[in-house]
Amino acid sequence: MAGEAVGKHLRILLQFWRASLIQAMEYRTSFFLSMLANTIDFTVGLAQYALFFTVAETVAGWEMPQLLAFYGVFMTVFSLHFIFLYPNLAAISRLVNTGTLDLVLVKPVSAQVLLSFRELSFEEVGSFLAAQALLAGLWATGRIAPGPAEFAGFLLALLISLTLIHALFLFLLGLAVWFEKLENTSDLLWTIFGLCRYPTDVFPRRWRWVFTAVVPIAFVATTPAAILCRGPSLDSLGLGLAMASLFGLMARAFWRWALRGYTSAGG
Amino acid sequence: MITSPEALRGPPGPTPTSPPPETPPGPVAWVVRATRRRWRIGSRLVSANWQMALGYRGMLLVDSFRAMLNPLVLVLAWLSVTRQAGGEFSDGDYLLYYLALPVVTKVSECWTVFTLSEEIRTGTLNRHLLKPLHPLWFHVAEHLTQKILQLLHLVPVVATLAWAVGPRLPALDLSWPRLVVMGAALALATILRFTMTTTIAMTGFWIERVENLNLVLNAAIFALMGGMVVPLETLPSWMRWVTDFLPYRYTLSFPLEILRGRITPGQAAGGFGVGAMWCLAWFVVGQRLWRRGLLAYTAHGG
Repeated sequence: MAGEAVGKHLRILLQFWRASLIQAMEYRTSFFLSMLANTIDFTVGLAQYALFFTVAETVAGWEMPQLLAFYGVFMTVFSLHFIFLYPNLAAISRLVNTGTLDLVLVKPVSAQVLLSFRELSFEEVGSFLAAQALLAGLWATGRIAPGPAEFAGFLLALLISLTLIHALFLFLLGLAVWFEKLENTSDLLWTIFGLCRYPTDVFPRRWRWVFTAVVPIAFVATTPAAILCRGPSLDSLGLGLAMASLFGLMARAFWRWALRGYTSAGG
Repeated sequence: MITSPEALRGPPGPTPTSPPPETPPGPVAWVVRATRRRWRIGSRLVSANWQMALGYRGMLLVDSFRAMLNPLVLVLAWLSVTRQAGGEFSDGDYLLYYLALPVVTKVSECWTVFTLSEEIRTGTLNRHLLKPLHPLWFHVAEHLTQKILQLLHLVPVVATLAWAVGPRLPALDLSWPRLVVMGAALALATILRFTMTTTIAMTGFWIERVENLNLVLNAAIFALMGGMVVPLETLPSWMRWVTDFLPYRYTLSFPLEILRGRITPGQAAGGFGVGAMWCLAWFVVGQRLWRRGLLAYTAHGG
């Protein structure tokens, strides 16, 4: 049963993604230009991290190859969020304001899945590929040397990270439905990403605790990168799993609660 | 039958009394009049924008905390760094740098690449083209009011933080001459960022999405070469040579270098020169793009 439901949703999403791709291909030059622009932007961002080391020897205990790996991991999460979630977050206010949300809600599929992943934005595919190339390059040249355990831990940490981001996204979707006139919800998401841009080790001790156990931004990029470079730590993976489940469930509860209060604007 | 153009005009009436010969205004009177007109238009534009901006005042304090966030993370990163011996910056220098940075960013900020290009794309520009004032002035007035309002919220936040870390900040020379030079550098930064960003926005007459060009010319490279991530004064000298040449330094780092006061008068003068050259270059290119763009412009609606 569950497998059937997942299969059905996947089939539907694939249709939506196909439509997104066709739409993006209508403006092919623009599509390739934005891929190029994002790749250039990625490279300049990489130079920022490298430039730290013209003055510094380590940044909060991170050496240069490790910090570059950190950037690769951060950009992987960021670009995945941008490709899958961002266009949908931008769309939700419009859906609520025009009442088109009704048309989504009456469909016999999970509104959460549909509203989360309906549209794709291909602009950041450039950054995603560049981030993978960076990580592969660091690995191939032996600058980072993850074994199977590190790699498995890294994948799990990445899953935790994406779950947390999706929970935050769902919370913002709920806010948009609840407040109706909320714009710039994506700004909040980007503010959080701004905090994740550097390893949380740069923060003073007490803040680091807050960013691990209260606002779990440490799990977005720092933990996966640390596991990739320094080996898995059961503590952080366990705490991460707990936080991801907690925030995931809370966000889902809030989302359902917000939807119950939704009064249609008439579509 | 009416055949000649003369006939069309009808019978010659009484010759129209020519208006009383105006005494051509003297140059002083002309300047006074022109200034008054500009002042009148400018103050009304500003007050209208002020009213509009006040509508969103709830977000202003949140926004100023957000503006502080990135510099805060960066300064913490720098304080956590194991530095090589003989570095240019001490902890206090980094604190000062990243406290002042959000203020400079806010003063010089420019977002025409989003608003103007949107006007071009949707045709809202038509509305402004009909008015007897260059459409860019509406953007100037909007930027001015937004910035004043946001700075009113940002400066107290910065001042509180500066007070909190007060003893660790290096001594500053805040004499009048330095403040005047600092103001001039801020003005240069603002004008340069405006001309540059607006020129990029004007490619919107031909390009569907200006954001890509902006991303390449004005985003991460601005943070890198402008001194947002690494203070330019700490860079190795061959990189200083590059950053001194590119426009980005003069939109962000230059006023901060003057505030910090380690720059010699000769270097400062050179900086003003290069910055002014870039202003002029972007202005000339922008003006050309504007003229050509209006000819190519076909958007309907608005």
